[in-house]
Amino acid sequence: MEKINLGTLFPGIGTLFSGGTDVFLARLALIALGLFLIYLGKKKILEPLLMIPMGLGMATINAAVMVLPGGKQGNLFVDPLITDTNDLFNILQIDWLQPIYTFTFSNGLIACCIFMGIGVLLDVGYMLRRPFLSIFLALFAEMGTFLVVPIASAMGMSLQDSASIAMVGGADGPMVLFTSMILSKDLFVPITIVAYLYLGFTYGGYPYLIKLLVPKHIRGIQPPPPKKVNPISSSQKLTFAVVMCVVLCLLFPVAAPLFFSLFLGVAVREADIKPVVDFIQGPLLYGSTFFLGLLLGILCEAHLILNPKILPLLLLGILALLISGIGGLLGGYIVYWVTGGKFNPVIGIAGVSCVPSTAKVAQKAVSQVNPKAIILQDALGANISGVITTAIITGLYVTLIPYFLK
Amino acid sequence: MIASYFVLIAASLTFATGFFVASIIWSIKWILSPKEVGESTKSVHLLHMFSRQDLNKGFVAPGRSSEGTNNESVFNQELYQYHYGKN
Repeated sequence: MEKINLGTLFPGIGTLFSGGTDVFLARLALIALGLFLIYLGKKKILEPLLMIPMGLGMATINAAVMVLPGGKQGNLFVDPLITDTNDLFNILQIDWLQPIYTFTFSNGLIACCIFMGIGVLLDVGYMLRRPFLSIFLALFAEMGTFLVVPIASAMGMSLQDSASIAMVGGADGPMVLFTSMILSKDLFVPITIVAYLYLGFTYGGYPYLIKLLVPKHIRGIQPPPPKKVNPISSSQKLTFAVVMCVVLCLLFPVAAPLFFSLFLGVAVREADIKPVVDFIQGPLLYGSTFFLGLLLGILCEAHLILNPKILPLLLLGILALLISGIGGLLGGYIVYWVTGGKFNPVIGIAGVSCVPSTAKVAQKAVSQVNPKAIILQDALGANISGVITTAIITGLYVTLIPYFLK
Repeated sequence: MIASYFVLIAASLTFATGFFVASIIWSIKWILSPKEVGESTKSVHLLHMFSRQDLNKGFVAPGRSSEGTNNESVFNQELYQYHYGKN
């Protein structure tokens, strides 16, 4: 009888010791991080819908490493590095998450589904009330998306990787996924994970940023209502969605799937197709977010954190969000000065397009000083404009970068 | 250097596109909303004019004088007509 040792009987443990010290430590660290993410999700510190599947996926994938036929170490979940068509067809029959990865993740379908869900949730009427103001604030709140590109380049990253990590400044997860999948195929997993981990920063960190940069007496300002308020009809909102979709797709065909998904969601909502609205904002949005979290967790193998580019990505991601927050407040201050002190600059931070978190953060910060001040409508306008400006920047980055590489 | 140049161009184009988008939104609002509001205002004015010229006897409730019908309450007249018919 052949001798059986513990390493072959329990391959997860066997591979833990056979891969070298760095892999051993990295696998243990990722299992611990996965469990920590589950804890953060359970405590509602970070979004549980994402963190529970991501954390469990991360812990599991680093535990379930085995020796595959041929002597190579791997797992039975997914192989993201397969490019050959024959190998892909074989692996589709073996790795259970490979079909979801190949047919929804690597082609951007999952990002588009989430964007469709966001579209259904958006009431563009807030943006239509004051379009120039909303767009102005949203543009300033993209400062991190711009300024982090040269900073990342100065740190030795390529222009594609710099642009991808800078997109975290837009605080829009699906957009970061879409951009990094096109521009940085090797780094799209860590960049997207950084983006989703840091989105919690908008809830946790931005209130402190507001307190630091906006004095109390300015924070409580109630902006005057617009002189003439015409209710925005659903026909106007539907027309807006249709015209914007066509115009933006004409300008940036490369980001057309994102624009189409977003405005399809808006159009379905405004056309009041209730069964489809219920489907998109329920099963489709929640299902896509769940599988996105699961796949991101599953893709977090030990070799990922051994990549020397990970640490700069962690620093640049938080920097991008910080600069965007400062930019939003700067935009708010400009409007405050132009209107002679009648505008509340805190609204500016809502231009960071984490719908509707940043709008809620802005309203909460104002309510703490002046409970009667209501800024939520203007904040939501800037918030929704932020989604559109981030999509515009995605289109521009993906279109422009090839010209700079020639 | 290339990154700074890239950002400068990208930021300029983003601002230009952003304000272009805002102007389209404003145009949509302008094209759609004045029409809807304008028509309804005109129809209200027309009703006012009719009532002023005493052409709205059909709105008057049986047993009530036309003075009882206030020119300002055109919508009430419509409501009355809906419930009781023209006479």
